[in-house]
Amino acid sequence: MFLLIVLMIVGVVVAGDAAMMPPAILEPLGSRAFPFWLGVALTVLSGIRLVRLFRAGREAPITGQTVYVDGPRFGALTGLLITVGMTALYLLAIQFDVVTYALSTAAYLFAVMIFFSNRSIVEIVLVAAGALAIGFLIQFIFTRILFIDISSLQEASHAVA
Amino acid sequence: MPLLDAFVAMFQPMTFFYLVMGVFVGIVAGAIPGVSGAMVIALTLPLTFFMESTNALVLLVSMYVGSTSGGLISATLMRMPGTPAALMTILDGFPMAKKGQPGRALGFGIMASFVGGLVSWFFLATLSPPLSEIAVRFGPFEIFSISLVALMLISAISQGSLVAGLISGALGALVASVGVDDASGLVRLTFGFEDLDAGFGLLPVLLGVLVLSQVAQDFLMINVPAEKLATSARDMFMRGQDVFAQRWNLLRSSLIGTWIGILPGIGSTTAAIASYTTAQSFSRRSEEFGTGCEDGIVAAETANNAAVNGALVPLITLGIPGSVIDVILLGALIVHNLTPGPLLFQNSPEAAYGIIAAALVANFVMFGLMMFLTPYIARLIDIPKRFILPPIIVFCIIGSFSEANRFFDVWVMFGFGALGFLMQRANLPNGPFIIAFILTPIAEVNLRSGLMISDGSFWPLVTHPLSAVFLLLAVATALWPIYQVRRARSAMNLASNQEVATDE
Repeated sequence: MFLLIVLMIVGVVVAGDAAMMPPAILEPLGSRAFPFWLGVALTVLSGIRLVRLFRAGREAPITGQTVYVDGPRFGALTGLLITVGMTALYLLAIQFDVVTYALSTAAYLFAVMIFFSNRSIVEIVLVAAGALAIGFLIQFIFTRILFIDISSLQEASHAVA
Repeated sequence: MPLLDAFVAMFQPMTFFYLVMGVFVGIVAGAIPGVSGAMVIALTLPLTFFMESTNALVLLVSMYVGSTSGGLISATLMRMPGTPAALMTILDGFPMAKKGQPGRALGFGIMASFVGGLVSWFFLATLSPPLSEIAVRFGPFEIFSISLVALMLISAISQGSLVAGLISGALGALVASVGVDDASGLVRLTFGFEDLDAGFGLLPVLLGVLVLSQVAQDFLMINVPAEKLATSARDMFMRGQDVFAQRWNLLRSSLIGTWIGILPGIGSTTAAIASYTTAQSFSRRSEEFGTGCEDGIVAAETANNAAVNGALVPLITLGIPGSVIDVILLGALIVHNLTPGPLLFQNSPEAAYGIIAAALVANFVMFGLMMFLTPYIARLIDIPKRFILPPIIVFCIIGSFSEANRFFDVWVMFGFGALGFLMQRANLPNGPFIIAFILTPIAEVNLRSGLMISDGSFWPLVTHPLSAVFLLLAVATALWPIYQVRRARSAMNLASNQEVATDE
């Protein structure tokens, strides 16, 4: 229901913003017609769905009920949120050029993979080796074979910063 | 003979390499539950930026063919559809495998996939060129109307809820409206953020809504083990009499799959459901369906593969995607500066005929790879998701960045990933979002140019015969689910009344 309420608000804001656009010149419809009516449609449709859900009194649960069987014991949603946090840290590491792309990627892959594992010594060693290999392999493939300059990813982020 | 030339081009070493690679990667991706064909094709799209356009299309089409077939493996051995299209295969594939005949179940599925691909390819090759010649004559009102049909069809079949599909579609359409309006030069819905002036890029939106949202869903189930049956290549080779016994089922399911695939917006999953239920009603062994009946496996697998080629027909003739994967192929055409739609055959025949030729050769390659490698590919399903999902995120980051070399797009992708995840949790399908994101600019541009031609009159929408037919189809599509719900309700009321009467 939360998402539907947000979508209703988005629809109203979009329709309002579109309504304030200048009127059409030299054409019947103009730039504002589509966004305006789409905003109205989004609000109305979200409202209809919200009313239906309210009347039915049911909603898809947002929390996962999964219990990890062969890994660490914590809620599924907690695991997802921690992964999101690790991904955010990885992006910041790229953005602020903390370490090279290959190393930060290897560290990120290692952290996420090992987080969901049994953390036995053998697995830690294998995952560390695999993550390093993948990190450098990705850098090699993109820079040497596909000619995508990954270093520009960091340069671009500096420009944004 | 442009088609013959295209076939010759398929056997150039690099092109053939991409084709085999595409089919193989597609099969593996389709076989691993949680890694769908759409996901892997979206991830591959940025890798094709630097490839020759025909090779890029060959790679993506081959992945499409491979991933649709690969879903069969996990559906049969794990009771988990690797792709949504393999949903109906589970019903008979898994029970047959459980009875100790996994090779036979897979063999029937592979044979059916191959035949479905062959029959539908015939329609793809024969219908597409003449259809494109007719479609060249479409005016802006006709193109607007057919875009509307596609949008309505997508919404109508979205998880059985028209409103949910329409919300998702409206949201996708709004996202497509952000940025500079090419017709007037006005900036729309950016709320002062200059980074949004260019609008949202295709890849950040695709990768976010389709791939990252699914990755997030998969993280919720990351360490849940699934039962998996062992298999071997034994019994996978079908005898002639087995194939002959299925001849009518194969033909009927191929035609159903092709036809449903041709309808814009309806993909392989619906084709498999329709074909399965039809086969059940026609079969002499209808009571055996769901218990390991080969008729069910054949019907489902023939139709879902036939729908792949069927869906390519509106894509290359009208520029209207037949499924979510076709949206990505449409994006690939745009990325490679090819004009999707009727002009593709005129302006870039090598690409149009290349897609057609690749679909057939990929079908043969799929058959060969599946027959000989399925037992080995089945072992890849065992790789824990914790080793698959993190590299996918890394590829998503590079993919979203590589389109415009903007770090902003990476954050945009994560934003859309969160949106896609929340939409799935709220039972809003993400397919209509993506298709509306692609189709809305086409619909808007054509409606506005049509209205300029007609001095602001909407009448040509109904006075132009083809446009009127398309509009009627759109209205019928919108009303059909409402009719179905009412009919189901009245049937339920009738049944409950009868129960009360019996009790009394």
